[in-house]
Amino acid sequence: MAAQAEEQSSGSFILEHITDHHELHLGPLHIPLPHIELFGIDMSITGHLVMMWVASLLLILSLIISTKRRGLIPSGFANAIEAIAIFIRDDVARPNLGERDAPKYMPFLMTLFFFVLFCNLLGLIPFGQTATGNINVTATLAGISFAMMLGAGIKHNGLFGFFKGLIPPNLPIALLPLMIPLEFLGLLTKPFALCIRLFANMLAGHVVILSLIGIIFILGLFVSPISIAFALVMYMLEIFIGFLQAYVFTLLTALFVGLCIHQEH
Amino acid sequence: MDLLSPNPGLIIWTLITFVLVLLVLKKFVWGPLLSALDQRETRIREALEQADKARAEAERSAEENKQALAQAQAEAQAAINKAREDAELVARDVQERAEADAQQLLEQARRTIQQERNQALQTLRQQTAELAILAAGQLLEENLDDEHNKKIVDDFINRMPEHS
Repeated sequence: MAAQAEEQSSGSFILEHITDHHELHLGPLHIPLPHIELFGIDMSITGHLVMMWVASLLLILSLIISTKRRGLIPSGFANAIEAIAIFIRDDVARPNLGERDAPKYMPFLMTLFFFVLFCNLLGLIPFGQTATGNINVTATLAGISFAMMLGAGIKHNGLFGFFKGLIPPNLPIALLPLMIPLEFLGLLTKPFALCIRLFANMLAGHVVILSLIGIIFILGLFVSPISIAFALVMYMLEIFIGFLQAYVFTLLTALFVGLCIHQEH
Repeated sequence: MDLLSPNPGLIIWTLITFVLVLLVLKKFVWGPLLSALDQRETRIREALEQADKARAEAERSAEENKQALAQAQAEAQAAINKAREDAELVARDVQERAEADAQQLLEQARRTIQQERNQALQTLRQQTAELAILAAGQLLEENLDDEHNKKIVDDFINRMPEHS
């Protein structure tokens, strides 16, 4: 009976760490955040939002500082930023969007990558929380990607041309009633998959780490070496996944935008 | 708050945050960074192209030099060969002419000698005959008929060996 109760509390301890709150949790410190309501919408500042702002601030500051003093030959952190920029340009933007259209979408893709990356990694820092482990955040990012897809497709093919291009050419008329909803659904699936993939990946890693730590509280202190060792491995994996998911999100966005631009493929 | 509960406020905040981050980064980071990248790549490409061009130029000029050298050598060789042939031709010509001249002179000399000898022999024969007749006539004095004696002496002379 007691063990079950403890398990219950372990479960809630994990949930408490991965869900959003109207307070900022800094260890034992719970700082209340202001409740705001605008036009009937609850615009309250939440913990994840604060974390997103912290990530954004870190992102902007580190990028501006590292790239401010520019010579022809970069050094240090600027070099790493450049390597990522070149990677995204040459391996993400250009193959998917084409040489001609790639430069226009580069700032968006770069921002997307670094925004997701910083949000992912901030969750791994003590007292940090993963804003990208919140489905509202990933849904918004996916929505932005979806807007880019639609915008790019309509801009390049025209409003009518874009929706006409969604349906494969030379399709028998009889299949149209079936294919139109299917293709429309296919279009919507793309951002939905983006949203769920990032959210689930970020959430899962944290749940596993927290569960491994939680085992210590359930089974006792003697499992802590094993638990911590496993948690450490998971932590390393999480760092990798943080990069990987930022890359995947950016890559798929570029791919989908590219598909909307070049519908003939 | 629940794990999957929608939060419109957070959605709007995320949108605002992302757009702001995008605008700030685009203005202060991506613009300069991407243009610097392009600039650097252009410079590197140009430098490489220039290097390629310079190398091609050098190769071309080396090739030209080699060709010119080979041509000069061939020309020199041809001149030497021609001079040698000419010299040989002249030498042979001179030699042939000299030989012909010598042969001619020899021939002429031989002919002259033969002629002189024949003439001398002829004269000698006549004079010998006359002398013999004279001598015999004086010795015999009218003893003999002139016609008959002369025949005997002529026979004698004719019977004399050619090269005496």
